[in-house]
Amino acid sequence: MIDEYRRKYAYAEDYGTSHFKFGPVAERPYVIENRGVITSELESKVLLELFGVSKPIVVGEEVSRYLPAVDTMGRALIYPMHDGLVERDNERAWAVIKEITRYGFEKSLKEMKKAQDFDGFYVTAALSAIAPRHMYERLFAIHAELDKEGRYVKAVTIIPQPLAVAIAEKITECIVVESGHGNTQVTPIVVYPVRDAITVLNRGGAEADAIAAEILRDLGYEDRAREEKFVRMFKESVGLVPRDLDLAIEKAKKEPERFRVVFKVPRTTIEIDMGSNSWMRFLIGEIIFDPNHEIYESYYKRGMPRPRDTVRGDQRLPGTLPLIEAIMYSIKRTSFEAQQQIRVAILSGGNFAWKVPQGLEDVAVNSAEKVALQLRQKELDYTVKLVSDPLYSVWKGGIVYSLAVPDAIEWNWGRMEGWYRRGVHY
Amino acid sequence: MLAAVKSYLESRGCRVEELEDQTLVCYSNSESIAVRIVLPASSGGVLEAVWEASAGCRPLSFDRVYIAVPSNFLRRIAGKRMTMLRDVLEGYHKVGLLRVGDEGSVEEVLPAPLRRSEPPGADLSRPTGLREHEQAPQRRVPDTSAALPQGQRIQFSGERAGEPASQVSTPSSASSIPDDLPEFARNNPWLIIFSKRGVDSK
Repeated sequence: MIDEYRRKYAYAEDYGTSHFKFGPVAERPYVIENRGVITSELESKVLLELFGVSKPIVVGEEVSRYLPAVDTMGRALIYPMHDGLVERDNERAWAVIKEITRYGFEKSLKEMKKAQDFDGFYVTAALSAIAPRHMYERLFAIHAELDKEGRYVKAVTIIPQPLAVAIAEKITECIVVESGHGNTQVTPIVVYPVRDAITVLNRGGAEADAIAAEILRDLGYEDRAREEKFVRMFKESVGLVPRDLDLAIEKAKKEPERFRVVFKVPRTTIEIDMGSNSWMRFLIGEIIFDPNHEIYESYYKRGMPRPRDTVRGDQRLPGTLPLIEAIMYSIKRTSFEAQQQIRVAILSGGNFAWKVPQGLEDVAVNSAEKVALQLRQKELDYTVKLVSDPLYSVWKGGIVYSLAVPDAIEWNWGRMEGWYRRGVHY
Repeated sequence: MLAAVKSYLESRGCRVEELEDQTLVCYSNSESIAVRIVLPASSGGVLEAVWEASAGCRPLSFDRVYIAVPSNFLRRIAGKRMTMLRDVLEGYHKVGLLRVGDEGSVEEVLPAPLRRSEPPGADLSRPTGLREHEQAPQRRVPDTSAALPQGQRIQFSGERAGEPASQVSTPSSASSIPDDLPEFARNNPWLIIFSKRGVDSK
């Protein structure tokens, strides 16, 4: 079923917002940051002369060398993706995407000590479930151009990241819920992704950051509330997901010492003692699941951004729609037969990585338990699991896809699957 | 259909009971057998109906599990589609196939493999009590890349530490899959599904 050539040269690419994961078949991918430096826009040319660089765009480990030369506006340093998307006409962003793709092939071939039988990889690239058609078109074009340069790409295909997650988890019927920094996507998978049932919410880790910043303000740390990295560290350290928010707050106010936390920044003297306000920890975890809870109204009124509504085709969803309602909405858009088959929900993305401190298990839960409880309240008895490998799952799913899909399946814009092949499409 | 299948099971020396979901179960001294009747809504969706019914049988805790399909529908699955279905039923769902004729005859088209004591995909079964939700201690995926003809992997740094991991279900392997594939590719049902892509759309 898997021929020898495919076994050697199956290759996957995961274009994440912050990191690009790539490589041929192995237990793990290579990883670089998804960013590049445009050398012509560097403030200082001294570094260029020093390193003897002639490349217009630098990516990979080398980027950090040029950061001192990036001007205060950061014009030369490009992060091409935001919430998994690249703007259609952002040529600088696409130039960086092309460069990191090229980097991936060159790095991989160098490490593999390119064999004589090499005639191009079978590449599966993974994009956000809501990536528009122009991103597919552009990525195919980039791979075709790179094949012309270096004969790197025998065939390329693109799959949605939730499908890649389901493949890596070895589950053929499930709901994949992905929550990143800027958005949350719910994708039913029944051997194929059910595209019409994909539901998108315009909220993610950024909302948890926002409420964490408000809490820092309430605690008297206005300055710290403006430092993005500090807010994120605070959020990750103290945030809790409540089994039930109202009950959790009641309990935490009655037993403040039990829930009290002191946030300490390593290698500094900075300490924030939440004291009797430790009940606020639950606001951080809950906002991802239910930003519509009345407790957040006062924060919205004082200026905390309310998540925007999502409009996609004929679908308009409130930005504050509880996550469980978004999952139900997605499930109901699948066929009756599919609903009978789906019994598993997989949670993916850093936004779901919440811990339960020892001793608080009666009040705090992890994300999988939270979603399972809420589904059970809707009389849906699902197994809910966190993705096994949050860093590499998408890449792993891409590798399996590259290994298995036959050559004969050509790219079809209707089904959005198949190989875009040398000799046929380029 | 029910009467025909019931008669077939009784002829094997079993005591037969009828459950919900159009399922018959029979018990003999040596093993337990379940048969789910599948009646596709239309002749156009037979493969999908059979596939979905078979997938739904995965959590059943019986020694052998079959699905029974009327012969006039089953006739529509032939050639490569039957080969693909056989791979999935036998290799992954662990389900056999019975054909039920118009006149009430029942024939075993695919034998049902003897299941393990724990049914395949048991972690996906419906619980009888409160479910334990998975948060296994974090484990690092062993880096066996040195054993493969690949270079060293750059270890990613900077991510949040202590992300929880959960167990991965591992259904039985299908044939023709190399043993030296990475763990995430071994015993992966998607390899079978993707390798047959294009067959089900014809």
